[in-house]
Amino acid sequence: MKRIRLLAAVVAVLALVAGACGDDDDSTTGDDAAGGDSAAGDLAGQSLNIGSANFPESVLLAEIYAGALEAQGAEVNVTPNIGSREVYFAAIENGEIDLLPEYTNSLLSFVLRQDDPNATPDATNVDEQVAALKDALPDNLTVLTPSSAEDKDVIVCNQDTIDQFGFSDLSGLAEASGDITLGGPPEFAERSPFGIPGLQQFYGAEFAEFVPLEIGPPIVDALNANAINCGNLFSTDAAISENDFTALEDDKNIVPAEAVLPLINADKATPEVTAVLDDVSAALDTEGLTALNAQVQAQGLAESEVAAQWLSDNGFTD
Amino acid sequence: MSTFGDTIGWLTTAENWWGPTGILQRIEEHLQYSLLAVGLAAIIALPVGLVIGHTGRFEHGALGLSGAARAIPTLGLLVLLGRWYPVQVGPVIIVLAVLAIPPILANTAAGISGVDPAVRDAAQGMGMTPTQVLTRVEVPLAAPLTLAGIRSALLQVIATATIAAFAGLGGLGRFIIDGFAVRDEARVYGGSIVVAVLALVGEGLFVLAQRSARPAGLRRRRAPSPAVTVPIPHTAGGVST
Amino acid sequence: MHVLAARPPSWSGFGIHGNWDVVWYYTVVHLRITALALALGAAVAFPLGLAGYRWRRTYPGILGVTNVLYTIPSLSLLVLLGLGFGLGLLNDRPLIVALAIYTLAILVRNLVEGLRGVPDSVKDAAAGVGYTPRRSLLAIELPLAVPAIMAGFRVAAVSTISLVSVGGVLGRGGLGFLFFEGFRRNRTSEIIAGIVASVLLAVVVDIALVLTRRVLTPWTPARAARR
Repeated sequence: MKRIRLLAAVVAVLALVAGACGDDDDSTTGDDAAGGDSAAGDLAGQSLNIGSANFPESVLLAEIYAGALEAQGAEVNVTPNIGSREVYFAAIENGEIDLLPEYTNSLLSFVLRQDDPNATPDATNVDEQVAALKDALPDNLTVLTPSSAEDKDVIVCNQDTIDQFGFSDLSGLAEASGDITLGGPPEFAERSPFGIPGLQQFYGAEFAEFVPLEIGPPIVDALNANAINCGNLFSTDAAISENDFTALEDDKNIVPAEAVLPLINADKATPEVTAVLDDVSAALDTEGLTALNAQVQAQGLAESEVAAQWLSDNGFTD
Repeated sequence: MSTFGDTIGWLTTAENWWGPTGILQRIEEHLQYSLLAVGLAAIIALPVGLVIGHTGRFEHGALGLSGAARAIPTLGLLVLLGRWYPVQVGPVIIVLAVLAIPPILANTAAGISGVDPAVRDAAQGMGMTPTQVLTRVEVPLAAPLTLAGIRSALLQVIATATIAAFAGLGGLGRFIIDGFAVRDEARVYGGSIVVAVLALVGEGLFVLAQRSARPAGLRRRRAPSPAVTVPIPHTAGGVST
Repeated sequence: MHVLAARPPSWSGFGIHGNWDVVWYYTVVHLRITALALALGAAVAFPLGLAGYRWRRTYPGILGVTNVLYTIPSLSLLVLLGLGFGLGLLNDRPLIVALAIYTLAILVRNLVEGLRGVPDSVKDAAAGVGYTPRRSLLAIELPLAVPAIMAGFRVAAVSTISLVSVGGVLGRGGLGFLFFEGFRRNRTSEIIAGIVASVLLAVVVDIALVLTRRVLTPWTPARAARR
């Protein structure tokens, strides 16, 4: 009996200790080793929870935002890899997250479809998109100045497929679609304009098969193994050139501009924060972003490392 | 909860059941993966379990190994194999078989070795050769426990076969993963309910099989207490991105 | 446990070299989730098991419910707990609760079977000597049931460790995070590191539990004699 009490007590103590140390929440307090040393910046006293989607570029951008803000004295918590937009948008909407890197068109389409599942954005250029976003977003959210850096969804095909069918744009793909196995993230099956229904609506494409795979290495592996003919990747993905994939041209321009911009909780968008993030957006461009992605994917470096280097090279940190 | 209503709605919409991406198709795929995996596991584990139980050798080694196999995260293994063999059924079957082997092996070995020595002696006394003792006495007596192991494995595998969807394949996991990706909770829960029902139906069928497998002579007695059959929890039932 | 107070270290490069701290960090997270899930599961299983033992008619019902809960696919349970029950998806609570629920099926069954396995003669003897049912339970029956309880606990622990990785789908899950990150970032060594660490953790915990059982029941021979 004594031993059982002892065991119960040990278990209870272990549980308490385990519960007390460490956090329930992933967003652990970013250690202010960096922020504490530099002079108390303009953002001293402000704190932000920064999240990202579950692909490397998003994590990279989140780390860049985080590093830039932290260098100015803010307290930041980074929660990367939250999931697809459906998941992380809910998180920023209810305040669990304050800041996310986003893309103009994808975000706009998503927000509009929250109210009307068939809505498509009318905006054709970045300015119109930003205006439409500010209008359509819930009151507690807003977007800041977009960057010139863009990352669009593209369909890429492996060399064997190009050799066999010879198309170079989406119209060509659509013509051959009956023989094509297409890979893309699960959401792709229901997305428009860039998705199965969208491609059908705008290009008349009807694919032989759709294989749900995450964007990135899973699609790259499948393309290389010829398990799929073509797949959805991001235009800034270094794997495209590395693997001799061909990115198909969107000849009907169904994919509008996708500029990178911060999505932020309106309360957290203080003038100081806005200034820092605007500077970051101005310093980013598509080529630079592609190069950063290459470092993460080809060299396997951690996003935080690559971000730190970029921040240093561009004068955001010392 | 209106989600509850939505889920019921999803389950009762006829369109969701038919077609190449319908519930029935996914059930078929799901069962294919599950049965192939358990079959493969049985082919490996039954003979090995028989040998271990009958000869009493390698007991610690083999059971220790199978215990360690239980610790392998099924999902992790699938992710690993999927890197080298993308979008193929093979990795899924192998990974699920790895999950199914430990219970079948442990139970078969325990069943054979648990046969009362007195019964074995009696059989030998009757003039049976060692092989006859094995096939006519030990195997039938061990059958209930062995079947319990296969049943446990099947339950596990059915619940875990949802991970096939993560490798880009089919099965009921598709509803869970795709539903989660577009935040269609009705689909996630609906798919899960189908998985659970399938698992329970499998359980039920097996209980019947177990009852009829008990040699007629023992049928009147109560079933042997499955002390060795501890349910093995599933390592990843339903995975998503 | 101050390890957990810092920001998670990031994996860098394609090999394991220089990334041991990442593996260690996620191993600690993994262990923490496991410990909390087991503690919670045990806390619920104990009264449930005692009830099932004391009031025999409730046992089939309790067992039935835990069995059904057990068949719910883990991701669905996570989504249900996180969104449906509002625990949130960005923390470890849904995972801990889900894992605790899965342990119930094993722990309750083993507790009851273990208690039932105590020979009637022993219980009668205890009653004869003057033990009240309650004292008998605490002083005689439970200690004798420890081997069965620990056997169940071992299986629960190993399987929980295995299951924690599912959280990787949501960007969490201890070592499971390494599977998914390795998968997405093209780093096979990261996936392997996660798997190996997970298996090692399970083996270590299993050994620890075996030793615990021996400490608790010195009267049990270390190896069961072959029948």
